[in-house]
Amino acid sequence: MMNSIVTPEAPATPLLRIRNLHCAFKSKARTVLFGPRSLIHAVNGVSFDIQAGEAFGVVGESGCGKSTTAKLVLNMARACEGSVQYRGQELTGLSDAAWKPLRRKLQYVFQDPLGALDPRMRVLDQVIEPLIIHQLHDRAQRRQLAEDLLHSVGLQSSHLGKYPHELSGGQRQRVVLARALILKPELLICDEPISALDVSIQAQIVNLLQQLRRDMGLTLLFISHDLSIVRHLCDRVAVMYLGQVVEMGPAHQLFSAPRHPYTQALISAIPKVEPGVPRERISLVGEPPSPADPPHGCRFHPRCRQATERCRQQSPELLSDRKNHAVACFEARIPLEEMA
Amino acid sequence: MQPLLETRDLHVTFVTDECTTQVVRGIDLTVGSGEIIGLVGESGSGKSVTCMAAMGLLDDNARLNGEIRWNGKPLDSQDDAAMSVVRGNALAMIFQDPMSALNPVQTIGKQLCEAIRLHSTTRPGRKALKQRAIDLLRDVGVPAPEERLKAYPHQLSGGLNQRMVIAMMLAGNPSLLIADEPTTALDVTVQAQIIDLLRSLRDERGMSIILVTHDLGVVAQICDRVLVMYCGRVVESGTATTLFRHPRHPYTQGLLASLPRIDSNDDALTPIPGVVPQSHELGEGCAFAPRCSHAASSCYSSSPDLQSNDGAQLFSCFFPLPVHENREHR
Repeated sequence: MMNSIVTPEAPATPLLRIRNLHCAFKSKARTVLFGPRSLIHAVNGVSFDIQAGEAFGVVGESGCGKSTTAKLVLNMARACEGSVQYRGQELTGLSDAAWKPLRRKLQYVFQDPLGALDPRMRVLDQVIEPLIIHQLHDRAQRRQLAEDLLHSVGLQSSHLGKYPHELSGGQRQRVVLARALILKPELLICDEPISALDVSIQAQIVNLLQQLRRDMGLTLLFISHDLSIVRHLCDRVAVMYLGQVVEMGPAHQLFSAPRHPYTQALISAIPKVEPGVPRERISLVGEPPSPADPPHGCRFHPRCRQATERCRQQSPELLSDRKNHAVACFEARIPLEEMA
Repeated sequence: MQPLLETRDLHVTFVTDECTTQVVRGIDLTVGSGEIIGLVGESGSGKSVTCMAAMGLLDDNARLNGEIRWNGKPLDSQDDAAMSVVRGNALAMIFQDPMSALNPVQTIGKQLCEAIRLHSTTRPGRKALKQRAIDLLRDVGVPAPEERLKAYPHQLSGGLNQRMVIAMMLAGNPSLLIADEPTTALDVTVQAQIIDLLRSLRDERGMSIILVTHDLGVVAQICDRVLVMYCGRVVESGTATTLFRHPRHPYTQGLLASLPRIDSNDDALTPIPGVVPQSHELGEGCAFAPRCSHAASSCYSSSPDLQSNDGAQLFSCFFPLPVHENREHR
């Protein structure tokens, strides 16, 4: 067995603490031939905490930096600045060798299960493989553990000897989940885990995630552009826009009383399954600007209907009220009695 | 009123060296003028293939049976010469991924002008072409259309590219648009903009639209009538309102129940158990029976036909859900 990486901490220490995270990529495009390449700031000063046992959702449009944030946590992308702490231990700048025991505790599930699975390995072997890599248990035990877990994610014995191409999309995602869970991680990062699945299968996977959370005490970082799924599954939610968190708070509160104009527009844009009911839509003009050249001041102001002169000049800070409902907007009205 | 497009008992079978696969198994589809029809179903239900069959876009290994009528006249969708007159001018189709519908090495302007030239009877001059292109872009709500003409598809976002494709489609002024998952690849705010655009095409131009999608929310927002497909058959059809409020087929109800609602606090979703069967697994009975909680032995031995109580809502189920029961479910 590995040495335990868990250091005893006061219960107040969050499982994951992210502070002022920045990440920039060099764009391939040059403005001038042989000129400098432009920098794309994918993540620009993101901070949040995830408590143990919590399901934390990150939502936003494509290109807002939600996947990059997840990759920064797992060191799959290099942060330019900022800190990621797991149970108080700093993760940025760790060597690959130091990362290896941590990978047992932090696992990742991607959108496309077929791309995540080895096409030439049987299902059971794929789920056993992490145990071999981390040198856990003996052969018989590994097999037993993998079989048990595959059954508990809802696969039959007949599936275990199959190859990924013989399974349906939902079954493949179950295999990916089992492979991520076999190491008994504490934090599971799911990046759009159900977007590639059919509606009826999506519900199966969402229910499975909820059940696993209950049974295994799993902490979830759930990234999705589907707000209704996030609303359903997550305890707390962060809304990202152009690399920044614009609003964060308890899911029920954020969805029932969104404060940031962007969150309001996002929620109102969800088509409701209610024919004949005209929805009051707050339309957003245009599309998100390029992260290579973000607008000055508040990044949302060119699309915001409440933007004032101040929004064009200054960038609002993320301010929280007593219920930990935070918003980065000058115009957002936080009731006075709730000010932190 | 004469329907614009009509299919009668449409069957599509794909024949390969190894096997024959029946993908569409008897579809009756009627599209009236100015109607927005939703085709709903999971992947593999045959909704795209039905549309491709009507457009004559299927590969050579597809065998078509049944009848397709356009404006009351039979349409031989596998006759390329006949279809090239209809395609674009009467019937047009847009797809999920606008990037793959556009040519990456030509400017938007060049591609748009080509579409206009192909669809005009006269030979417009360069200036007239450009003006028409700008007008079309303005119609679909593209900001600064003059500059966009010089752009290449990769320089534009997915939402703008989808607008470009819609502008190209408008060049032929078709009376029926088939939109195959037009918003699936787009963000939710952009999706709402494209849905508004499609609705305005119907309201202002009287264009009929067949909207193929798996997103029931989109369907509820825009469609007049909905056909729910499962394994190559229509299992339920009716107006959007009745179908969503009072689904009679267990599959329709299952689809609705598996959606999380932004306005509800329910703890667990109700998924449909199991998976969509492969076409070679289909037997004599109802294709949905293995996943259906109401299924009885008769469901496995014979397949129910589409039936109706009121003439408007059709469903193919031996044990339809009572109208009142599912009111609370949503």
